[in-house]
Amino acid sequence: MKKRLFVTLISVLLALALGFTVFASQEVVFDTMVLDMAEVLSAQETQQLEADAWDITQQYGCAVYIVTTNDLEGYEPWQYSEIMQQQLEMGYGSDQSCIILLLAINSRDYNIMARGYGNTAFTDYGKEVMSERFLDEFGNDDWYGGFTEYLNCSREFLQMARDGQPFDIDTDSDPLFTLLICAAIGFIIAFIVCGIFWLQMKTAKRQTGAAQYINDRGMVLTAKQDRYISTTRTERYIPPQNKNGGRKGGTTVNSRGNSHRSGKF
Amino acid sequence: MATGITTYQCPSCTGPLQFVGESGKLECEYCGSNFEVAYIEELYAEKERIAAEAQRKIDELKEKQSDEQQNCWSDEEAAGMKVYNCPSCGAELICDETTAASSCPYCGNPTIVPGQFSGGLKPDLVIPFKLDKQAAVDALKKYYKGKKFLPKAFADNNHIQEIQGVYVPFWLYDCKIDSTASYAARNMRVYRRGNYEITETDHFHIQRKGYIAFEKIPVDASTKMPDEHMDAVEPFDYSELKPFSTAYLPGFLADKYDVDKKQSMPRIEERAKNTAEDELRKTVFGYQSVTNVAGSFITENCDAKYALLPVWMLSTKWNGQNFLFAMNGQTGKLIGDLPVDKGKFFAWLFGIALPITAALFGFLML
Repeated sequence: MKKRLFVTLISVLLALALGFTVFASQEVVFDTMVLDMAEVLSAQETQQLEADAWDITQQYGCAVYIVTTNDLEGYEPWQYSEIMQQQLEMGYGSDQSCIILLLAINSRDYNIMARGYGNTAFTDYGKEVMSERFLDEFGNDDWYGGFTEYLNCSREFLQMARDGQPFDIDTDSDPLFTLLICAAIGFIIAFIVCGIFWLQMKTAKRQTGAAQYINDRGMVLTAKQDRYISTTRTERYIPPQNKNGGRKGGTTVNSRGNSHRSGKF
Repeated sequence: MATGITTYQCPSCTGPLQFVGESGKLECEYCGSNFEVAYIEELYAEKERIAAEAQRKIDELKEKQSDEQQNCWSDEEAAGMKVYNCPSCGAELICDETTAASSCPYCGNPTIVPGQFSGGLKPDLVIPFKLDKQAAVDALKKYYKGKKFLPKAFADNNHIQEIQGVYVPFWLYDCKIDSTASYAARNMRVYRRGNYEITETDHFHIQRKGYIAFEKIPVDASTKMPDEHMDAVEPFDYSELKPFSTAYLPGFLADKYDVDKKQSMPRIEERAKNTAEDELRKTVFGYQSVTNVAGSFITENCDAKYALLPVWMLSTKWNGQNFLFAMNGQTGKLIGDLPVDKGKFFAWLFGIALPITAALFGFLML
């Protein structure tokens, strides 16, 4: 099977060699940023996405790739991405920093793979949020729309990483929303404190009980009965614990230095 | 229209006698003599009888003359008002008909209207004042302290020295509540088997029947006194209850009741039933959840005694609103609603909220 994929890759390389290279850079060995083997994009769309992806790659030093294929040739999406990246030497610089979005059109699988600096900029949580942004478009076969979302998201996350705060669980918050939450907590505490002060100003209250005037005997019981009626039983299914539950952010990198997020669209 | 009233005069110098809570005696401000209540009671028993008789005769005479009088109080105006002569300085004192003890605003002489306590109106019991005016003034000053929202000018301008000791009429009820109730109770066990959480609930039907007796539940018997204030100064120490004597009244105001036993009953029943319900519920235990299903609480054997209980009171106006403070004249418990300075309220609100907001926001964003 690996042989078939290798044949595919050779075909890709030959096709690209016969054509022309739009961009050239010493840092980027494989400079075809949009590899549309499933041919879901028009030439114009490909050209536009290619230009945007190259722009991001050059601006942030992390290659941003789009790959489509009809068939994964028996590989898992993440395996297919890794083999491709290795064989085509995809990436930017010596550490081959990159992010690759792979779509398998027939099986409707997707995989986001990051490497090198890409692992810093695209955390596990970042990849999850990124996939949520484009899944709707791909679900509706809006390929160009989905890839545009992917590129926009990549640019945004790379910029955040450059600013020193890669997009992650702890940075995924709107400052205005955070401020509103903080203000709400502040005012709730202030209202409780002021409420206590306010109650000190109002001490005239009607009595509703007379417990202190009960005579020495208290409540004298003349009849007492506790009767068992029945037992009822209910069951509630508890789904297995989500592996992501209680996560603390960051990027999970495998032994080959890559991180992935896969799923269906 | 003027009628007679009684003052207790010192047998030594004829100066006015005042009841002093601390010593429990009647004391003369002029010569410093002091006398046991029982001694003065005996001395004045006959005088009071004569004064009451004289009062009755004068009232009869007044009724006869009322038709003949012109340019006087109209019937509407005079309704509920009575006029008395101060035996010390001769001034005419106009009081409403429920006032039984007062003091002359001209000479300060403490006065008693014995007729107001005669017959069915006479109290059975009294708790004498134990705390004096200075204690009440000090307590009120202390009460103002530490109140964050209190307008500064309020404490300065509210004539704290005008605080008055009042014997407030109360009904002290004894009653019994026959109680029956049923409850639905549950005990639950929760455990896990595989991927299922299993809840087993045992259901029980509970029945309880019993009775509970109350002694001397107080309810104020004066429409002039707000119920909230009189309820809030409870409790009184009933071990100091004494048979009523007018000898305890000099130096204080005193009212007679204008809410009778029957009118007071609903309030007593409400309080007693609420407590009976709580006490019966307390006999149901050993269950994780108990819900009241049905209940019947019937009041029986109700009897009330008429008592005068000591309360220091200050009524003051602030920005057109009345504020009333009451202090238990026996235990010193002080209550009353205070005005709120809205400026101070918002200053505190924002003063607390903004630093907390800033600290939280800074912590989360850094």
